[in-house]
Amino acid sequence: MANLQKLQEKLEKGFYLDNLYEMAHLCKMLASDTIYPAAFFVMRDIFLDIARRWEERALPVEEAKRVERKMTKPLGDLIQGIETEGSAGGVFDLLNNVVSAYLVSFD
Amino acid sequence: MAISSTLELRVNTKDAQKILEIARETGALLEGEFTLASGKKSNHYFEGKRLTSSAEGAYRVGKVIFDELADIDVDAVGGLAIGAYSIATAVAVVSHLEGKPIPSFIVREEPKQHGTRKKIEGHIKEGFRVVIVDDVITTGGSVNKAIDAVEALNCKVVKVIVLVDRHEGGSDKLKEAGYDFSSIIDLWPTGKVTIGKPSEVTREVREGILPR
Repeated sequence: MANLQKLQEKLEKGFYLDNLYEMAHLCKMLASDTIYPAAFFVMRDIFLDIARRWEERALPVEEAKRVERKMTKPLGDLIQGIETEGSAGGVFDLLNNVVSAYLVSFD
Repeated sequence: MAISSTLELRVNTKDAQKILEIARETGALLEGEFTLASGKKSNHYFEGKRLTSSAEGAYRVGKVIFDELADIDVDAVGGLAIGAYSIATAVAVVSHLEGKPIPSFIVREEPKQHGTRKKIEGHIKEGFRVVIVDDVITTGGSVNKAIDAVEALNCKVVKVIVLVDRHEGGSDKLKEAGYDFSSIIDLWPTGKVTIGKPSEVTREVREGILPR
């Protein structure tokens, strides 16, 4: 899936508002074209939630980097798991890792 | 249609200095290391709403822009929501107090999805001579959206004024296109903050060698 490759590339670009919205948009498209819609739906919600937290305020570089450090690996692993069409249980575990990382990303 | 200008008009430096002070006092202008929406890093963050939400900030912004328009025939002032909202309103209020009313308008990012489906709200009509305002110009996206909307209504943009120019190409493109452009505060990519006429800012300041 070309959009999955695009999502991986955007993830590597880092966490900033414009990119978060673009990743959320890609996830929305991917959710309707996959056997793992829940994974993309959750990723989209996470990207949008981070974007909403950062919208219309000063975003210190350190904060952006901290969230990026916590989220990039689990998100990358999830995308990789989807790309290799891992088992539903395996993808679900990777999705849980993403959500767990997100829940502490602003601590 | 744009008007050409060989003159680089500039707001009064003392007024600009006061606005810069208020911007710092109100937290509208912060210094530090920030990640911008585009992903670029900046030593400054500017939030225009904080400046124009303060009573003195709103008045001074309205007054300095109104004064800047003293020699220009203007029918209305406005810009893209939501950055231009409080600025255009401040100019309208000051213009009333000064006895030379300039009504305001606002350009929606997206036309209303119901009712009149208007793209522009407020006091504007075909053929008006208008001033476009905004809080920040970076690459010029917001200002250009506002210009496109009013020019589609066959209005003439007689001036563009922003509170802060980040000097990331937006203002240069406008000047090249022939628009008469002014900023109150200039944030240079080197991290310097100036309020002087940009053409008088030395290469050293632009490149961050000397403080100004």
